[in-house]
Order: sequence, then structure tokens, then C-alpha cells
Amino acid sequence: MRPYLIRRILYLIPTLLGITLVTFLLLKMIPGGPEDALFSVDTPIVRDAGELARFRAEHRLDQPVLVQYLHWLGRVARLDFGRSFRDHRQVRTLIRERLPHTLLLNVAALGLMFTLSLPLGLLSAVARGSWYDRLSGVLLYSLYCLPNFAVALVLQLLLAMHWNLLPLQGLESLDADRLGGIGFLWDRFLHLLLPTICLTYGGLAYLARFSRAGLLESIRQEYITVARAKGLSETMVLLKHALRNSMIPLLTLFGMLVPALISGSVIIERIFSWPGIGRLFFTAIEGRDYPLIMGLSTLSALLSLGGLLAADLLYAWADPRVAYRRRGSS
Amino acid sequence: MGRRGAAALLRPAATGLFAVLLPLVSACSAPVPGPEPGDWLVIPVSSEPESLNFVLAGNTPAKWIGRLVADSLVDHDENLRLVPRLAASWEFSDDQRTLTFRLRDGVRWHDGAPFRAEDVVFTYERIVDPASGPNSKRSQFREVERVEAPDHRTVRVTYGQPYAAALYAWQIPILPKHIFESEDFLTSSYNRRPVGTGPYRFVEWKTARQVVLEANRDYWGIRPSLHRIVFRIIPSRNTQYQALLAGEVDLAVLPPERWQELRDRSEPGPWKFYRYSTLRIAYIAWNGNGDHAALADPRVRRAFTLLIDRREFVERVMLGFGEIAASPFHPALSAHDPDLAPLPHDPQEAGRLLDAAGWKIPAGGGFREKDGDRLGFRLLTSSGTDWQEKFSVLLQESFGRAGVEVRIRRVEYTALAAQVRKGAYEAAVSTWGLDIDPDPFPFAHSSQIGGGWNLAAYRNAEVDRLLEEGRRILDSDRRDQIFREIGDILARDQPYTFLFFFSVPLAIDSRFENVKFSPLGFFDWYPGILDWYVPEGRRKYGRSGSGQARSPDADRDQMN
Repeated sequence: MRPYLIRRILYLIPTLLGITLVTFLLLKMIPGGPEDALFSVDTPIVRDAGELARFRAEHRLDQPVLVQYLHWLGRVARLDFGRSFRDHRQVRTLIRERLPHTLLLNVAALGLMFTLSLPLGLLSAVARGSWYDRLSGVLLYSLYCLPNFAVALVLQLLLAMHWNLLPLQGLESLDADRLGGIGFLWDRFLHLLLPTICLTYGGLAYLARFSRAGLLESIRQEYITVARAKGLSETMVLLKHALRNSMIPLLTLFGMLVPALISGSVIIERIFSWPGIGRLFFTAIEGRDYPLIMGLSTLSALLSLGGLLAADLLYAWADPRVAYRRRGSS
Repeated sequence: MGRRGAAALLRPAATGLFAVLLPLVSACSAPVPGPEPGDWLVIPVSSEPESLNFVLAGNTPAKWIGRLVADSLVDHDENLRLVPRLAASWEFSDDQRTLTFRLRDGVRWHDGAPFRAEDVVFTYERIVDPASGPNSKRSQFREVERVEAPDHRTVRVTYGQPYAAALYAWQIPILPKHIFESEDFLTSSYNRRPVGTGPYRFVEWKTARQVVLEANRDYWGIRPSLHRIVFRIIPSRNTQYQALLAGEVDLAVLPPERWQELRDRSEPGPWKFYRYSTLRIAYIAWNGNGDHAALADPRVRRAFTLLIDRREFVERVMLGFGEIAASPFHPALSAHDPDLAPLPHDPQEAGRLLDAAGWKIPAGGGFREKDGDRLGFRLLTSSGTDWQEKFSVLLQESFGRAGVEVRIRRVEYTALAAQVRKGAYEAAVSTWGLDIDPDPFPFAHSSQIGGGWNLAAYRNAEVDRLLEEGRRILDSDRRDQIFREIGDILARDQPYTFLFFFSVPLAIDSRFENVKFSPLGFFDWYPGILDWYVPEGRRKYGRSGSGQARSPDADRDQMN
């Protein structure tokens, strides 16, 4: 397994290089540059031509694109992602301030998705063809179709405004600093609920039906018949044998969900005033804040590739049939 | 009566005596009497401040916080008149090239150090320093030769030539030299935790969540009555609205329909409703650089303005939240000419003008033509702005009826700015946040074509001369006269069609008293929100921040 792991991690490098290069090129192709966002965009002033020239020279904006890219790469190799054009702070500081909040939201959503979808799928598979199976199918597909900003607004209106059950927005209450340990955690938890629900429900349909399909597939395998023949209870058959094998397609899905979640949470973060990196990305693009955009894109690429790698490794763990090491002729 | 009876009488008597004496005592100790401080004001903002370095940062939250944490030398009052702030007085020399400020005594920075003229010089130096990077304040100081501090209480500014807008420039917040001189100005940690001389001290900035300010008890001026001001960062306007309804914020800018709805409810909610005009102007820029034959002709541009029914648009789409503009001068400014009426909506006259310019409707109908060319243009608007989307469609319709073809191109805002700056456009709809100094030099003088703000590539020798003269005349009446002449010529030539000035629908929690507006907003004047207060019985946030209204006695105990 270890050589496989090392090989996979090494493959990350050219993949990342390719992604960052393409992102960089695309960025430079977008009409408008930082000078259009930074130099008093909307109040007419007497323009100082020297100011613009100085800015472009300082940030090498007039050099060939590839030269600019290599320069960026050289700094990144030293873990220096540069400073934001907007407030001159280190890109890594800006990301560090907000990334934990986005991660928390996404991990919570992923966790909730898996926790709910596995039993849902399991029950559907076991009770195949029943009213439960059909009803849950219809409900889940309906949920999948609902756009998440609409659901967010409706939930805000009902749960926060009308029934006053959950907070409307934000990470914490105004006076959160005065709450004790447990109070503080509870406050955070309540604030986390609504945005997490909005990120979760869509994926539920996907995952639940997938796990149902995977389970049905594995139930038909010969080893299940063998297990039953051995006299194991149906529960044992399901949990010990069928489940583990049905998780394989789920794991690949997991890897693909990570990047989708990170980009999908931009809208939810905005609606719930969640201080994550989604909004940062958005403002950075508007402002053509190249260092920040490159930093965020690289991070996003890393997380996505990491998710895919994790999925592959879990895949190997779940299915011993997958041989990662050559043992002579097999 | 007995002891218990006597005691029962004593307590209310003592309280009564106390209640009478306390205001007298506090009036004696506080140099500037005002309502007792307390309660918080929670304001939602859509984006974070760029930073809290008030020289470098320019977005609205940064400017608002800058007004509270820092002071400027001068400011504007409710009626847009210049009033002293850190400068107790000022005067121009006889040749009008030197402006001398006499600064107030006894002003201290929030860290206790004394405020001095050197701080003003330092702030100026940082603004004009090229190493400070892109900076919108720099252009206001272009005419300055040097700034000196002959002593700790005097600042002397020398201009190359008399400069009319000299005083306007000194509305910038002043930064502390003793703190920044040993720091990297661009990356200092003080850009996140500012120190100023202003009525509010900085408390904390939780990135992307909130900025908290607390009243400065040692402020040299009007004691603020609100104990804390909290800026909550809520990116979505709709969530801001919900937060207002939920009582999580104390004021909100509402979409016009919501504002009307809430205001006209049969059961009034706990809000008061205001509208205020702003210096933000909506305009259409016509590229007159000659590439497009029709747009270079003032008759055609005039006709185009006559085709637009601004009144209808403001009434129907903006629900009345706009003031039609005849010129770039806001009606509240003295430069505004009350006798200059905006061009009316007159499609007939427009047709006549277009015919006279040679653009006639061909025999079979359709779009107007001249020498085989069709009359039409590409209209750039920025995507994602509701009023612009509606406006561009209405424009296309009404122009179409008059035989003019409008092709709408919706572009992302920064891309629009890029195209327009390069002159690579035909017509563009956009907005400007105009300055309180009405000088139209940046967008009307021929020297500002190509990379500057003269987007319309407008060249008029008479206007150029007037603009140059206007920059030199300190006498405000004469200057206004010049602006009016300029306004007349611009109205005749229509290099830009000035559409309207935006008004803002605002709802504020009704517990706040003494809410006043300048013609241009509730924030951008002095003292502005410093005058607001909440009567003791109606306070929502105690000084320690709990969300419940506290009893008057508890508040009083806290303060002693």
C-alpha cells in the first residue's frame, strides 16, 4: 500500500501545477484587472498616470504571463502566497481566518449527509418495493430539485422568524463573548444548524439512493448466499457483509462531493452571513485580487485532490480485492 | 407611624432627592452636557471594511468607522456647511496660496498621547507617498506644495496656486504619527486595531463578523450618547431586512417596496421610516470620441435624453426614491442651478432633432438611417444591478419606438469599468458616488480623456476654461456661478445624460431619538449619529451587553 500512497502523492504535484497554470492563464484572460477595481472605481477623480504605472510595475503585471506565473510559483514553493491587493495582508492569513468556518460547515454537512443517508438507503433496500421505499424515493428526489437558496430563505422565514426556534444568521449571538463554555458551544451549535441543513438535504437524495443501489447490488452476490447458508442472521448478513461492500461506490462519491460542497457553500454562506472563504473568493474575483484568487484556487484544488485521494485510499481499505502492490503474477 | 413606616417614606424620598441631584452633579462634572450614555446601536453592513487604516481604506464601512474612531480637521454639518473639528479655526493668506489651521488644545489620542500638528503633517505625507499604493485621497492633494507644522498647534499648507477645493480635502481622518512612524504603513497591525482621537474607541474586529466600537469618555467634543456601536457584517440585503424584523440590527436600508410595506402596515412596528438623498448619481455616458458618428453629435445626444422618461422611471420603478438630475450638481449643493430644468420627456422634439441631424426614418419604416448607416448603439450595463436591468430594457423599448436601435450588453461590473476606462464602448449606464466638492473637472475637462474619468471624451474649450477658472476661485459665490455656467453648457451638449440621484429607504428602530439627516445622509456629517440617544426607559442593550431592556435604576447603579 505504501508505494501506492507515495505514487499518488507524487502525482498530485504535476496535477496541481497543471491546475494552477490553467487558473492563472484564465485569470489573466478575464477582462479588467486590479487597476479597474482599485483605483477609485466609482468616484471621478483626477487620475495620476504614474500611480497606475507604478502599481503595474510593482506587481509585474506588464510582463509575459508565463514569467508572472513562474514568479508566483517560485514564491509558493517557499509557502509565500503573497499579499492581497486590497488590504496588503498575507493571503495565508486571510485564508486562515476564514477557512475553519467553511470547513466546519462542510464537515458538518458531510457528516450529517452520511449519517442520514446510510440508514435511509439501507431501509429502502431492505424494504424494497414497499410504500416506504417509494415514498422516500419521491421525497428525496423532490428535495434534490429544490434550489438551496430558496430552501434557505424559506427555512429562515419559518424557523427563525415565525417560530423563533433557531437563530437567523451569523456564527454566534451578539453577546456570545459573555457565555460560558457550554453556553458558547450551544450557541454555536444552534447557529450551525440551519446552514448545515441547507447544505445537507440536496446530497441526501443522491447518497441515499446510491447506497440503496449499492446495497441491492451486493445482496445479490454469492458471498451473501454463502453467509445466509452458514446460518447468520439477516442483520449480521446485512451489517457485516453487504454494507461494507456497498460503501465502495459511496466512498468514490465522497471524494467528488468535497469540491462541490466548497463551491456550493458560497451562496449559503452569504445568506447566513457565515464568515467563510466563499465570500472571500467572491470579493477577490470582483476586485481581481490575483494573489488572493490564486491562493484560494490552489487551496480549493488541494482540498479536492485530497478528497479524491482519501476516497481512493478508503476504497482500497474497504475492498481487499483491489491490489495495490504487484505480487508477481496474480 | 413606627420605624418601618419612616423607612418606607425615607426610601422614595431619598430616591426622589437623588433623582433631582444626579443630573445636577453629572452636569457639573461633564464639560459637555448630554443625555446619559447607554445602549448600543447595531448597524448591518454588506461588506467588511477593506482595512481600518483610514488613509488606505476607501469602502463605505471603513469610511463610517473612520468618522467615529478618527477626527478630521474640518467636517460638514447638517446643512453641508464646513464646521471645525480638530481645527479650531483656519484662514487663507492674502495671495490665497497658504491655508493655516489653528488646532484645538487638549486633544488626546486613544492611547493617551497628545494630538499634535505633526500628526497632520504625517498623515498628509502618507497619503502622497507613492509607496502607499493606490489611494483615492491622493488626487485632492495634487496642488499642495508642502505641509508644515511651525508649532504643535499650527498646520500650514502651501499650494502652488490658489486651490478652490483646498478645505474639502481636509475632511480626511488624521492618523497618529507616534504609532505609525515605527511601523510598516501598509502591513501594520494598527490597520486592524486603529487608534484615533475620535468619539469612539476601537474594541474589536472579528473578521467577516463584526467591528465593535465603544464611546470615548475622554472625547474633546460632544460626548456620544450611545455606549457601543456594532457593525455587523451581513452580506445579503435580504438577511439584513430579516435581521431588522427580528430585532438583531437597529437599522436597515430596505428595498423600496419593503420600506413602503412596513411603513404602511395597519399595526405599526417599532421602527421609524426615513428617506434621504445621496450624492450617488445614475448616468449614461455617450462616447463622443468620434468612432461613432451619431454619438459625437450633440443634437443626437440631446434627442436621446428627450426620449428617456426619467420621471416615470423614478416613480414607477424606483418608487419615488430618486431625484431627477438636470446637471451633475445635487439640488442640495449651492452649485445647483434652480433655474436649470431637466430636459423633459418629449419624443416629438427628439424626432425633430434627429431629423435635423440627418437621421431619418426610411420610407418603409424601421430604424432611422443616414447615408446608408443605421442609427443604433451598443449599451453597456452591469449585470446584477436590478434597476439597471429594468432601465436598459425600458430604454431599448422607447428608443426603438423612435427609430433608434439599442443593443444591450450586460457585463460584470469590473469588466464594464475596464471597457469604459479604455474608451472601448459606445454608451454605458453606470453610477458615480460624487464628492461633496462639486467640481466636474475629472469628467468634463479635455485633459482627462484617455485613462481619466472623462469617459464621454468631451471636448469643449469654453468648459475647459471655466473648469480651470473654477479650480482657482476660493470665493464660493463666484465659484457657484461658474458651476452654473458649466451646468448650462453640459445640459445643452449632453455628453452624459444625468438620470437621477438615488434616495435611500431607511428604517430605524424607533427607540432612537434625535435622529437627524443632512441632505446627504445620516452618517456623513458632523456630529451625525453622535447626537442620537435612547431614553433610559427604552434601552435595549445594557452597558454589559445583555439583550434585555434594563430598569432605569439598574442603569444608574452601573454608571456610579
